[in-house]
Amino acid sequence: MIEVKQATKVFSSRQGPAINSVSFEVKNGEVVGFVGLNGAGKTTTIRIAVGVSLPTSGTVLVDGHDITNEKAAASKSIGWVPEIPNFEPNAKALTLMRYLAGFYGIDRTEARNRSKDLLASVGLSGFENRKIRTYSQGMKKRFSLAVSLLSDPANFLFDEVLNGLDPEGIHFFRELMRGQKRVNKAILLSSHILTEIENIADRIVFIHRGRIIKTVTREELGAYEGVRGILRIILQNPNDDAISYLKTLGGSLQVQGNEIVLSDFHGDSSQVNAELVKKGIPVREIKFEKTGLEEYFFELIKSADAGK
Amino acid sequence: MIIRPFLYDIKKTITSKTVLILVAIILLISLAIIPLTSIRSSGSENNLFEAPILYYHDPNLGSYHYLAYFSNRYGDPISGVTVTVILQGPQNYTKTVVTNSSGLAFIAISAPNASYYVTLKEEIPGQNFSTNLPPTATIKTSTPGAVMALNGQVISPVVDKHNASKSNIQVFYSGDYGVVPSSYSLYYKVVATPFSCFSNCFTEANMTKLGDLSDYREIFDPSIPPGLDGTDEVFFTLFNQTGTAVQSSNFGLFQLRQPPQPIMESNIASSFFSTILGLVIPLMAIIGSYSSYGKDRLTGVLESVLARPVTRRGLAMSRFFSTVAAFTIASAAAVGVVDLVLNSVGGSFLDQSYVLAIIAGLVVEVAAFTGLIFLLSHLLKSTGALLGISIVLFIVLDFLWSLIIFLVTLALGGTGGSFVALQATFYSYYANPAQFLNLINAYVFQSSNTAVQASSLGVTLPAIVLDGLLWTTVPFILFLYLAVKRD
Repeated sequence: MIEVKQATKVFSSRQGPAINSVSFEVKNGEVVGFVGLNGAGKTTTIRIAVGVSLPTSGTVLVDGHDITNEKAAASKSIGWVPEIPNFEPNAKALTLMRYLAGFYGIDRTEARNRSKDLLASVGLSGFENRKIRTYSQGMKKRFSLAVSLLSDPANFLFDEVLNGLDPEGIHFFRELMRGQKRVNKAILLSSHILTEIENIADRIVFIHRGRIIKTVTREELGAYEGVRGILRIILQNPNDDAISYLKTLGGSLQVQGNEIVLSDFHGDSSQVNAELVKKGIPVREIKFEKTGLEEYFFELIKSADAGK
Repeated sequence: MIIRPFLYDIKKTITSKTVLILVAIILLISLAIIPLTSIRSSGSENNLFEAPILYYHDPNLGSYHYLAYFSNRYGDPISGVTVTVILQGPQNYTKTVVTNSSGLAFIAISAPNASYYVTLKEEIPGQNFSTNLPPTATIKTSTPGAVMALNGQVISPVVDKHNASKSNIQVFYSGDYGVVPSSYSLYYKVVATPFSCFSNCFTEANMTKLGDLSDYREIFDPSIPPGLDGTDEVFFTLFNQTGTAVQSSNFGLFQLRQPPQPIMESNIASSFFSTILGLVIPLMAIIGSYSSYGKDRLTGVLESVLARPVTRRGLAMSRFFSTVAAFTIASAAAVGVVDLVLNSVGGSFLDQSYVLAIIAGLVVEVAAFTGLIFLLSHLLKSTGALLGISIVLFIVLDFLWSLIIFLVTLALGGTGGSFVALQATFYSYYANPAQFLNLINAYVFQSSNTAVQASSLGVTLPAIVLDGLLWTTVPFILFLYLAVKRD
């Protein structure tokens, strides 16, 4: 569990605080999205939570340990993947992992075995003995993830991890987060792209100009009237039966060849799929999307700025 | 918990390419002391000390005999010395011989019994000496064929090959008619000052026997009890078979048991340590500190380590001490190489306490520069700035320091070479970690290397120790404060 309490960071007295009295928590078994524009204070907050930056005031508790005053104990249960991983460029991946494992008190043999397994699990098998500087950005992120898993920590802080990843990488990270959530880990996932987060986060914390402006659950976000659902269905052979069934679901219907787009959809996509199959209409693909989250976000920002 | 990362940091620092190259350079430079030592030692090893010359006259054969022994300061024989004796009298006679492998030259000149002026010439490549020996008419011997010492010391101290701070006693003597001496014994006695013992003390009964002479030349190792005052005297007497003293010499205890003196090897070593190591070690510490901490901190790499279960203080200390440890090992290795080279060429190791003092000095230099670079990496914002300032720091402290002090002295009205200028130079050493070895050398060799005693210029042991402690701790503490308290 991560508890951020009244965290404030002032880099320069001539500028305002980078973050100001930021407070939120990430419970065990929960994925919390941390959303804000560039420069909103997401990374500053995460760096303080990880212990690489000192708060000007306030505290961060990781499983009850103060990250500033009980740094070693708190850091034991943190896995951090920064937006731009920055490791010793001339170190070989396996050697560096074994070095870092030393800080967790993992013995030499175990460190070697675990490092190899983790590198394999993030898709870096065969690259263990290559120097970090030869890694691509995506590989560095995967390496960073492997490092963050070294001690099997109870808390993860992922800072813009999906940026710069290929679709496979994004899928990999999403599945990993789901898996960690299932085993009761606390996960903080920051992003400036709301749609990336809303499918996976249980709660979303919005930060703007260094202040928390809103915290909403996924359900609350879904209930926002500006948010519309769009159902995209690709049928093998769209026929009248299918069209007339889909029209009964409400919203506006557009047919473009094999693809049917149903706007303002509020139902359950899996039920639609089941009904079409029942009617003997083969479904190639069915996809539910939400639009209007950005509008929601901008509305929050607008009201925050107006309140200022 | 961080022992393994600490060891990894040491390994990483000492095996980084730049440090490996610098260590290799240091070791190569250490080896370069070989030719330097050879050149210097060919002078020192074969330096013609005032060779002892023995003389006897054989009236039966009508010949004048001269025996000479040439050795270096360790008492090792020097062969190949050309020795010429010239008798100038009613008629002139000249005889030239070359010392044999035992360093001995036997010169016999057949000449009618007369009064001759005697000139002795000694020659080895590069050195040429000429000495006037007593005229033959002035030499009165008790019996025909009896040996007399004409020149040099028959009993003389020679440096112990295995301990440069200790001297043994060499005796060169001959039996009557130049035969190998037999039944001659060397005795010695330590007499405390002020003397309460006079001639009656120096008999076989009142002295301690050191050993018998079984060859023309013999080296003895007198046992000197510890705790004596340096001004006490040690008396040596050579007795013949009848118990008659044939030769006597006495030496101040400080001549036999002395702190490291500016012997040739020490001079070479001190020059090497203060100029070469004093130059390279700070450079190595700067580069090593930059690559082990400064660069990592300023590029953000250190954060990937700081995110682990380690405190800021723990990480900062680990990096600092691993860097200092790595360069201490490298420095000690360089000093060891120099000592081995000097031993293999010169035959004696440097005084242990001097070696330890130099290593301690190098640790101070390494710690000071490491601390300064670590500290600067918390005050500067970019690797470029850190590198630039580090290079400037190195150039100023290592190359321009003497010039700066000289100019400051002139600006303050002093003149170069004056006592004030010398004083300013010595005081400035305290303010510059790169000159710390100079302080140590000045202290160790203060009694003989400088016309003005270094202690009178403030170079004292407590001051050096205090300065070393300050340079070791102050930059480190400031760095540690910033590392713990600031991002």
